[in-house]
Amino acid sequence: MTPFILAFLAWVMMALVVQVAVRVPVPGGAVVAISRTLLIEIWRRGVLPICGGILFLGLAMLPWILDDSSEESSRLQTILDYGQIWISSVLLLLSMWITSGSLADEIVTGRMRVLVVHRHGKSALLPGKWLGSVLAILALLVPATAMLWMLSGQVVDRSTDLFGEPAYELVQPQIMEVSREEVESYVALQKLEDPAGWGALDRDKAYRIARSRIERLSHSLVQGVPMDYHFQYPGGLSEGAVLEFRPSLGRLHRSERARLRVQFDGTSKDVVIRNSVRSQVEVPDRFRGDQEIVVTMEFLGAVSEEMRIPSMNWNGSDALLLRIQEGSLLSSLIRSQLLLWIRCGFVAALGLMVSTFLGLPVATLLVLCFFIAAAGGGFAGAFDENHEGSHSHPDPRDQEPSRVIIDLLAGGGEWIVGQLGDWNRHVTGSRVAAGENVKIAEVYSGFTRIGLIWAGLALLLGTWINSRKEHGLGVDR
Amino acid sequence: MSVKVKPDNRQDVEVIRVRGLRKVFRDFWLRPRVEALREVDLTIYSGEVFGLLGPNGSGKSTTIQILLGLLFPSAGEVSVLGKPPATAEIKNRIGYLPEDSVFYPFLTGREMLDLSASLAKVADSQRKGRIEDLLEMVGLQDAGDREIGDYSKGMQRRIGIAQALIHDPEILILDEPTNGLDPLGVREMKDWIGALRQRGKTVLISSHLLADVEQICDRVSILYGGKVQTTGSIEQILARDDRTLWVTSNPGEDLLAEARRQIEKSGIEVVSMGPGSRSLEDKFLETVEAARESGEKTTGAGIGAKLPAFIGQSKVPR
Repeated sequence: MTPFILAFLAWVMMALVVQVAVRVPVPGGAVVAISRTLLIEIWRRGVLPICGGILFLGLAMLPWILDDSSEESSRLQTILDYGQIWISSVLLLLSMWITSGSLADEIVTGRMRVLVVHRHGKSALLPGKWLGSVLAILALLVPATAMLWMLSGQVVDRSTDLFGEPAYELVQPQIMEVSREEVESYVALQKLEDPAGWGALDRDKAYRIARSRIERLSHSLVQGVPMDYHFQYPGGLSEGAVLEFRPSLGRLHRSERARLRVQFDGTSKDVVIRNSVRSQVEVPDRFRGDQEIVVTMEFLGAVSEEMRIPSMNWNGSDALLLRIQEGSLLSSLIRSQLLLWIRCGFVAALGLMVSTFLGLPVATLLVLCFFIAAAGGGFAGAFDENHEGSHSHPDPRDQEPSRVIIDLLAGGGEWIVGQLGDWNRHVTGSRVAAGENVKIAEVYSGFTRIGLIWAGLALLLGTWINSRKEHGLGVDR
Repeated sequence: MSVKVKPDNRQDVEVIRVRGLRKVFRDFWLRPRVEALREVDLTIYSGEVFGLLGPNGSGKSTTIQILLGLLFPSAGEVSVLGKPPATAEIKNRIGYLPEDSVFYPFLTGREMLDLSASLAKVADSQRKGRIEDLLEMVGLQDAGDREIGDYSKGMQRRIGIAQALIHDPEILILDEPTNGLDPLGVREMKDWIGALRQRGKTVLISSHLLADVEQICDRVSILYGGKVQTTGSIEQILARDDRTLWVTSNPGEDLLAEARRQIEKSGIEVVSMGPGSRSLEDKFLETVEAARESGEKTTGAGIGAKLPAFIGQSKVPR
C-alpha cells in the first residue's frame, strides 16, 4: 500500500472518530456539551480536516528522506525518529491553537457572555474545552501512530514480523554515579594530606571540586589499569543482552584507533575502538537470569605502536551501557505516544489558562516560551547536583531577611527548573526510535506529574481567573 | 393579533432590587476611565414587563450585565430574587437574550438549543421536546438543522429568544429584543412577551424602539448619564392633562365640522383633526399574510406559534 493511500485511510479514520464523538449521544452535563461544541467547531471550521491532512501527508512523505543504501535498522530508526518528531510537533502546536484560539474567539466575539450567564457556564467552560481538545488530539494521534507503524514495516520490508521486534532496557554502571559519602571521604582525605590548601577551602567549594575530580576519575580508564563496572538489573538478564560503549579518546586522538579489553568473569575479548564510535560486545549466555554482572575493562592503548594514548573517557550518560531485551518495539511506541498525548493535554490546559487573560498572539508566544524553556535540557540538569549536608553548620548570615528571601527565590527557581526537567524526561520519541523500552512506570509518572498535577493546576488556575473576570465588556468598551 | 399589556397582573413582590448602584470602568492601571452608572435605584416586581430606556451610553447594558453577574458593581446593592446575582442558583432562574446575536455560527439551531439546555441542566428526558416546541414557537422548525451562520439576522434573534426560554426561567432579560426582526417578527415578539407576562414571568427589556416599549411594558425607567431620570407606569409617564384624544367611526364631514365649531365655540383649541389611517405595520402584516395564503415559498423563518406549554411551569415568586 502506498504511503499516500495510507494517509488517506488515516484521514478517513480520523474523520470517523470525530463524527462518532460528535453525533453519538453521550450522557453528560455541561462539560460534555462544551467539549462536543469544540469538536464541532474545529471540524466544521476546517481546523481538524486541514491539520489532519497536513499531519498524514507529512508522514506519507517520510520514506523519501530515507537512504535506500542504509541498513535496515538505521532506516527503521530514522523513520520512527522523524515520524514521532513530526507527530509531536504538529499535535503540540495544534493543542495550543485549538484551545487558545477557541477561548480567545469566545471572548472577542462576546459569546462568552451567553455561556457564562448559564448556571454551569463558568465552571464547565475550561474543563469542557480541555476535554474536547484532548479528544481531538486523540482522534489524530491514533491514526497517525498506526500509519507510522505501517510505514516502518514497509521501509524494513517486514510489515508482519515487525510486531516481534524487541525493545531494550538500558542499564548504566553504578560507578558512574558519585555518592555523597564518596565525596565526603575524598574531602576528608585531602584535608589530612593538605591541611593548608584543602583546609582553607569553603565547604561547598571543597565538595564541588571533590565531586568533579571523582567524576572525572570514575569516567576515565588509564592505560594498563583494569577497572570493574557493576551493572545491576533486578529483573534478571535476558537472552541477547549486549554491552554497548562509546569511548572518547580526546580531541588529539580523535582519528586514532585503540584497543579495549572487556572481561566477563574470566572470559575476555579485545575490541578495536574509535573515538565516539559506538561498539557492542555480547554478554555470554551463562549470565542469563543474573541480577548483577561485573565487567572488567582495560584500556590497552593505541593500535599504532608509534602513538601513545594515556587514557580514554566515558563522556555522557550513554557512554557505557548494558542493553537488555525488554518488551516489544510496538508496546514501547504506544507508551511513548501515550506520554505525548499526556503532554498535549498539559499544553492544552496551559493554552486555556493563559488565554483567560491574554489575547491569542501573546498566549501563543507564552506557550512557545514554555516549549523553549522546557526543551532546554542543558540547564535543566544544572541543579541536579546534590547539595544535602551543606546546611549542617548554618552560617549566621543565612538568617538575615534578605538572604532568606534570596534563598526562597532561588529555591523557587530551582523547583521550576526541576519541574521543567520533568517535561524532558517524558519526551521519549528518540528513545523509542533507538529501540529503547519506555516503561509503563514512566507513563504513570507522566500521567501523575504532567497530566494530573501540571494540567490540573493549570485548569484550576484558569477556571479561577475566569470566575474572577468580568465578561460583560464585549468588544465595545 | 396584538396583545395590549395592562399592568393588572403585577404582584408586589420585588424580584429585582437595585439601590445606589455605581459602576466605574478602569484602565489597565486601575485608573477610573468611565463612570457608567451613578447611584441607580430600580425595583422590578414579579409578573411585570419593565422597560429600561435611554440613549446610547446611558448605562442600560451595564445595568443589565450587572444583573446577570457579567459585570461586578463598584458600589451599591443588587439583589435578584433576593440573592446576589452571579450565584449558580440565580443564574438558572434567568433567561438572557443579548443585544447582538453572538451565537456559534457553526452550530445548527437544534445544536445551539441543545448546548443551552445542557448548560442550564435541563433534564435529558425533557430536552428534545422543549427544543422542538421552541423551534416551532419561533418558526424555525424547518431551519433547525441549518447552521446559525446561514441564518438571517432576524432568524438569529429568534433562535436567541428560544435559547433564553429553554430552561423556563422566572426572569427574562431581553436586550433590544426586536433588533433585526421584520415587522412580523416584531409583532410575534410582542405577543410572546405578552404571553410570558400572562404566565407570571417577569420581563426586563432594554430598547431604543419607544413605540414597542410603549405597547408592551407596564413600567419604564429612563436613564441618562448613568442615572435614573424617571420611573413609572406607561400611563403615568405619558399622561397629559392639557390634551384629549377622541377616536370615532367616520362621522361624515358635516357632523365633523359641526362638532369642531361647537368645541371651538366653547373656547377649546382643536389641535388636529382628520381622516383615520391604518399603520404601516398593519398594512405590512396584511400583505405578508396574503402572500402566505397564496402559497408563496420562503427559506426564511416561518410563522411563529404560541408559547410552548412547558413555559411557566417553574415556580414564580409570590
